[in-house]
Amino acid sequence: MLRGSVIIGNRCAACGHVQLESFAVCPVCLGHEQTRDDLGSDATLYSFSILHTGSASQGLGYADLPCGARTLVALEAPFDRYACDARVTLRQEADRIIASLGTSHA
Amino acid sequence: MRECAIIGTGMIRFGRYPERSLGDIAFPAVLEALSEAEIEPNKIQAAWCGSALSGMMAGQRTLAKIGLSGIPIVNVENACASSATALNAAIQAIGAGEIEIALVLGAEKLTRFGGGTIPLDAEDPEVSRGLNMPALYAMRAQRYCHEWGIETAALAEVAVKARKHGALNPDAQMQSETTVEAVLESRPIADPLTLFQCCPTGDGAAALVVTSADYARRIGASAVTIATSELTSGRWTSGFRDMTSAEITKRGARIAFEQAGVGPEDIDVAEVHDAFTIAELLYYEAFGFAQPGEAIHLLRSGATSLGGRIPVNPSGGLLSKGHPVGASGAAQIVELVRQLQGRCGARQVEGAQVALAHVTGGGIAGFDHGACAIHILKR
Repeated sequence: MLRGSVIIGNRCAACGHVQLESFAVCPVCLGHEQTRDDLGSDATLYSFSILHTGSASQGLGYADLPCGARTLVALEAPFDRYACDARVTLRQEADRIIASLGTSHA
Repeated sequence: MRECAIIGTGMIRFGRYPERSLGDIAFPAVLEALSEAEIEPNKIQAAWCGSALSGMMAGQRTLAKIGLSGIPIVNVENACASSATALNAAIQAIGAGEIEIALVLGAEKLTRFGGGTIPLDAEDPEVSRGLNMPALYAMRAQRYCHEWGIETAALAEVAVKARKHGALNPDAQMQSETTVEAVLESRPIADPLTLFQCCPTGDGAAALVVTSADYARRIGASAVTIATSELTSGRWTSGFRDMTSAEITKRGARIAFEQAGVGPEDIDVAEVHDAFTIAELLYYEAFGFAQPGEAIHLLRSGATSLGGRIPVNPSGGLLSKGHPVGASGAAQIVELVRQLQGRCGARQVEGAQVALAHVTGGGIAGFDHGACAIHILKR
C-alpha cells in the first residue's frame, strides 16, 4: 500500500514479523493483531528477469527491503541497466509495486 | 515398515496428443506396467493417480478404460511432484501392511491449454502480479550466475546434454540433439532462459506396479527395491531466501541419504527435476554431486553425461523427455527401474546398482517449492 512515496507493510503486534500482504493470523506466531508500518521506498534488487511470454516484454524482480521483507516487483523500463544488488526505489501503482533504478535520496 | 519393490513399469512417449482424452493417453502405460509385472488387473488392491492440471478423477477416468474399478482410487495433486507423491502414498500403505499390491499412475494432458506456460493459481499473490515458472527459474539463474561469476550462456550446456541423452530415448518428446549456439539463438522466454532451456509442455503418462518386497520375492519378480521414499514440503518465509541454494531439495536429500544408508558418492544414476537448465545445476549442488558454485565444472567434466561418473537424466530429463507435470515423477521411476534392470539400450548406465529420483512441485509465493519427493532405488 502506498502512502506518499513509501511502501506500507503489515507488522505483527506480538512478534514484529513484517510482510507486505495483510494477514488474518500472523504466520510466524499466530498473533491476530497487526499494525500498518512505513517500510520506506528504498530496496535492493535481489534478482530479476525480462519476460517475453506475454504480448510485450515485462521486467520482474525480487526486491529486498531493509526491514527484511521481500517483494515481487515490476521493473520500470528500460530494462537493460538492471543488475543483481542494484539499489531501486519502489512505488505502488494499483496492486503492483514498481521498481526503478536508484534510491529515493539520489 | 516393510520394504517395498517395483515389479512393473509402463509409460507412453511424452508428446502432444490433443485429439485423445486423458484416459486414452494414460491407459496404455497401465497395461504395459501390468504386463511387465505379469499380473492381472484384478490383483491390484488400490491405486494412486498423480495429476495436477487434468481435472477431477483422473485415476478413475483412466482405469475405467481397462475395467479396473471397485477398489480405492486416490487422486493426488502436488503440482509437478504429483505422481511421486502418489508413489510415496502407495509405499506408506504397503509398508504398513495395509495392502500388498498397488498401482501408481501419473497422467497429464497439457495440450488442453493450447500452449504457453503452465497455468498457476491466480490467487497466489505473486502469480497475480505476473510471476510464472520460467520467470521464477530465470531469477534463480540470474542470481546464481551473478554470485558465482558465471556467464549465463553457460546454462545452454545443460540443454545440450539433455538433448543428447533424449536423442537415445524412444519415449522422449524431443529426440534430436542440439548445440550451444542453437540453444542461445532459440526464442527468449525469460532472460537469461531461452526456449530450449525450458522443458517442453505436452501430454504423457507413466505407471508402476508396487508391491511388498516379500511379495516380489515370492512370485520371483524382477524387482527393484525402494530404499527410501522421502516427501517433504517447502518452508515458508516472506523474507530473504537464497535462491541459489535449493533449500527443500537439500533438506530432503539429507534425510533420504540417511534413510537409505547411502551418500551422494554411492549414486550410480539420477533423474532430477531439470524443468529449466539452471535447475539441474542447482540440484548437482543440493545433492552433493558438486560443491556450491562448481556445478558447471561437473557438467563440463562429462561426469553427469552418459559414460561419466554420475550420469544425470539419462532419459533426457524434463528438458528433453518432456514434462507433462503430473506424470513426470512416475516417469523418472520408470526410467530408473529400467536402468537398474539393464534395459535402457543405447542410454544404459552400465552396472548401475543405486539410483536417485527427485522431483519438486509448485511455484507459490514464500516457498522454494511447495513439495519435493526423493526416491532412492536399489537393484
